Amino acid sequence: MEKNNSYLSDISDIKVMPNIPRIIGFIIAYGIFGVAVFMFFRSYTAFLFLVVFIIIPFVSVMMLRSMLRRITVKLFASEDRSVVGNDLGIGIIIRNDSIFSSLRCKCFLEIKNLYYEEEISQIFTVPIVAKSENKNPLYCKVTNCGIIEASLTKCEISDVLGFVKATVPSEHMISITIMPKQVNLDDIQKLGILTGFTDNEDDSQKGNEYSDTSNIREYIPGDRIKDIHWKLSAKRDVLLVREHIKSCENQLVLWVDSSPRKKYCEQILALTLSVGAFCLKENTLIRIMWFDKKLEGVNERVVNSMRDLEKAFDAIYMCGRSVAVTDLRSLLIMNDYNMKTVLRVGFDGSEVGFAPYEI
Amino acid sequence: MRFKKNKEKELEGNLLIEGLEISGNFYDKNENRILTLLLKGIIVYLVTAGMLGGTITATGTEFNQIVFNVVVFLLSMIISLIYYNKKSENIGDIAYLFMIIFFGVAFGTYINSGFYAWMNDVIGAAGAYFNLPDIGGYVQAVRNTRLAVTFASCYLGAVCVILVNMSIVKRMMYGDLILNAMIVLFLPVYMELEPNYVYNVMLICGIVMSVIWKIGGRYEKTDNNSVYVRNKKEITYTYCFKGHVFAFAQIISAVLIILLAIYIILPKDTFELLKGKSENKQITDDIVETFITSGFAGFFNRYENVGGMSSGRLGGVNSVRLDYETDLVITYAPYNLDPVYLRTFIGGDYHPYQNFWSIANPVMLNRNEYEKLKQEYDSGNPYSTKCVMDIDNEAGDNGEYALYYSDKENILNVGRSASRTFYPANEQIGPYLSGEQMTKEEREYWLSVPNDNVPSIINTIQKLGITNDMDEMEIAECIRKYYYDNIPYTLRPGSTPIRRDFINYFLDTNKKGYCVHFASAAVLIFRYMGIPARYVEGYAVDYNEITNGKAMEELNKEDYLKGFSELPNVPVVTINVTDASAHAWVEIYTDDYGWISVELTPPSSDIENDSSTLWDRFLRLLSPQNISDDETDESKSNNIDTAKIRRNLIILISLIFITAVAWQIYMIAAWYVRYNKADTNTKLIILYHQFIKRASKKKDLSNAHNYRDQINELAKDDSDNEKLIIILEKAGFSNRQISAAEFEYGKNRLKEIKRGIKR
Repeated sequence: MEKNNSYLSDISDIKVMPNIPRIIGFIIAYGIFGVAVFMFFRSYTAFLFLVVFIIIPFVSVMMLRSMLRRITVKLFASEDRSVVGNDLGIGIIIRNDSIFSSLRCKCFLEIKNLYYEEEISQIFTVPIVAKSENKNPLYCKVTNCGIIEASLTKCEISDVLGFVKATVPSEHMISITIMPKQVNLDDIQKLGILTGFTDNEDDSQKGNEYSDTSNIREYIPGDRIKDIHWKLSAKRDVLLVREHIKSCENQLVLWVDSSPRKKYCEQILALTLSVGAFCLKENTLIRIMWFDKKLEGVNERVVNSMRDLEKAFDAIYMCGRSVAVTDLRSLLIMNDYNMKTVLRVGFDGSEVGFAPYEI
Repeated sequence: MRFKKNKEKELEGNLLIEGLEISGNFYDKNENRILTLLLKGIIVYLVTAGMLGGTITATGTEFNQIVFNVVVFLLSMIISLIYYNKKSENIGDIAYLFMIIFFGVAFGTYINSGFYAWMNDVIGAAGAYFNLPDIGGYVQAVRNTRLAVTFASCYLGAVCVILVNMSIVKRMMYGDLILNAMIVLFLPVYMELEPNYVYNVMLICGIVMSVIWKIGGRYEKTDNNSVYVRNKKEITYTYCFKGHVFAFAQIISAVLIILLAIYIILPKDTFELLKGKSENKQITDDIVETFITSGFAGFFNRYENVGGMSSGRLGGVNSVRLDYETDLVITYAPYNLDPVYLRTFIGGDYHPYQNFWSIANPVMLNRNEYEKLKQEYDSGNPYSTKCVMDIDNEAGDNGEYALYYSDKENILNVGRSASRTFYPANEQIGPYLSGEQMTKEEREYWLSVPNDNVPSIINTIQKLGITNDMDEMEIAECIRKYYYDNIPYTLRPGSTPIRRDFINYFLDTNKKGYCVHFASAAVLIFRYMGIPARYVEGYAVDYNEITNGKAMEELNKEDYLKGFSELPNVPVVTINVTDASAHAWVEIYTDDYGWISVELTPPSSDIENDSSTLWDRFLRLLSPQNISDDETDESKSNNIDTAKIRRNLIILISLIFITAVAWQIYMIAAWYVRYNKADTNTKLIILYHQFIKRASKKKDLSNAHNYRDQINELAKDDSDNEKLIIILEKAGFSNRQISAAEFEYGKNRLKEIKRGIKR
């Protein structure tokens, strides 16, 4: 998804820097050697060479200057959501309305995976053709989950002879969510999910008329006092309230445990997605919970559709990868959750799987 | 959220970042190899035809240029396309080699003959440039020279395209191309033979294209033809046909405009007249010429000489190198503009093959001129002059330093000073010797010509155009003219080869030299013509040095000059005389005036005199009011068509002016067309933009970025602003059209604001 449409048309931000090594090389080659050859031979041929090679650098620079006002550069992605194993195209679109060209436009990209919290700088050098809009795709294969954020930080456009570089700042950004690839659940697993692992949260307790927390937000005047999440509010120093939805009879509470090992992490996410998708198919409400590093507490999403499931994954990715929770029971109790059982998806030391966890 | 920079991952296979890796098929996007190679083929053609065609046309050799260009073009395309892939490269190279061998064998006679014909032209040009005698040439088997040269040029083109293509197709080494072009064009350019202008243009365009290609990005041929390559730092395209074509088109257009402008302003013929000569090149010319004529021996001095006196020794010096150190300091009162000669050596007999002048027999050195002129002065001849010169020998040779005309004086050694009294001659005094004849012995002595030199002297005299009724001075004038027209002056003539006679070598072979050469040969010519003559060495101080001398106002001029003077207001001067004033000249004997000096040495060639640069001369052309009369005469004599150059410049400037005006008219017309075609919203916005553009020149609007800020900045405290802003925002940002009344209101309001700003 495109977050910002900023183009390279604001000429005031452009910095034009001379390519000092090339200019020095040129002065040595033509200013000294060329003049020496001409002064020695006093030849018309040498004179023509000298004049041409003295003038064309200026022509080249003027052409670049004229071109800069008419260039638009932005990023694109073939889709804003993809699945591990699929192909994905991200790249640069350069529109040039001028009649001049540049053979070197260095686009500086910052690419991040928000879930794995990794960042890489990549330069993508493409030509700029006169009077055209060129799409320069970087064909990729999606290998891991996460949210890929690519931002174009600046473009460095050289003139045809490379004497100057115009640096144009940019803040254009695109974002792509990578969903895990679903795995096949065997019949026993499916049966277990449907019969044994589903549970009700105890909503018969006094005052506990809502069972599901769909979101946590800032307090708005008019909110009920009992909805205030006191613990979290105390931590954040701002009043936060829980938003509740009415619980249904059958719901599956999925606890997603991250793993320090990337390989298992991917498997955990894939299994979570698969279980979620299976439950949705069976019309079972799901409540996905995980440890949120930012909140330093539990975060959760209620999933009623595939769209909800994708949004839940977005939220998981945005939180980043965390460690597996050792004492889940205490964590949930501490955060006022009163469910009896959760289906814990994680790595048990030998393999990735899911198992009921009694609270 | 803190992110870890994952630099280690950059080159880990195709991994871009965790979650994304570059697809293998990303690199499957291939360049259009055929178009790439054809474009490279065009560069190969331009460079090959440019340098080879330029070389052949420079020597003036005739050949069929259309056939040559077609053949080179086709071969360039073929040789480029061979590099389509590894297989075609291997097979193509061998096939091409066989083709060259086949054509070489099949048309060997034509190719050889054409090559010989071209070489003959090169040799002829070299002979003319280096003043060499006819050294013959190659015999051609094919009589049709044009056909043979066409064959040879095509064959050379076939070989050259391989070399050029090697530099281009794989590495785009434009430095190599420039070097190759310099090597191929070196000989004609050195010999001041300019290639045809079209071939110059082709060569420049080819090299510029290769420079753009190399600098612009990837140029290397990759095995998989992939458009993209990933290296340590970046993913970069390797080739973009359209991009290259546009880049070439824009720069080559500029190059062609530049070359056209040069062609109009400074065509080749005009450049030839303006360029002057390079002194450094003249040195190499002399070296080459000395080598050709004398071999390595010509480069060695057989005695030391830095420009002082050689005391009659001849031919042992390769080149005279002046140290410009002061040899003498003289103080005297100038009396006319003629050079003042200080004589230190008088040659008597010339010794051929031993190459020296023996010191003249003192018995033969009568001093009648001194006596007669002294008498004229003493008798009160109003045109007679008595002068005194103080001479301080700082570093000169030990010598008499006699003046015209002084009595015999003692030798003035280094570090010593002396005063010389002399009585200069002038025409107004009249024939002071009055037909006084020298003795028979003296006459025989001063007329001796060695037999070894006679053939050479006769040969030269035949070229002088001397008739029987000519007197001494007319003969001297003939010799001077011959020297001026045929034998250039140089301080680097090369030494005379061992076992060659100095004067014969100078007159018949080398045909260049400095004062010693000219004076020695002239003496024998005069003597053979029956005019007593002698070779003299010393210092010649000309009027330029006098003007550069130090005026000695404190000295009494009467002590230095008495009697007639053409320069009565010039004070006594002191002059530092350097070895640059060392000179050799001729004295001939006339019955009325005795021994008189005759100056026959031509002035230094242009390169040694003209220190002005090409640019200086070009600027002089542009500033006719700054040209002095002398310079105007000079330019006339050089036959520079300054009027033509000025006319061309005026045409060019007019063209630029007309283009600028036409461009402005076009912009205005385009504006009106755009305005008239626009709807009312756009019309108002166009007017507004024009208004803001003009207003921003008078008021700073850098902080006003929208209609409201701009209008309020330009028309402060105006109650009508709001209405105008609403109309502008409606016109600029809404889908609704403003009414005609609103348009008129907006237009008139803008005019009012404009008037307000002006006020």
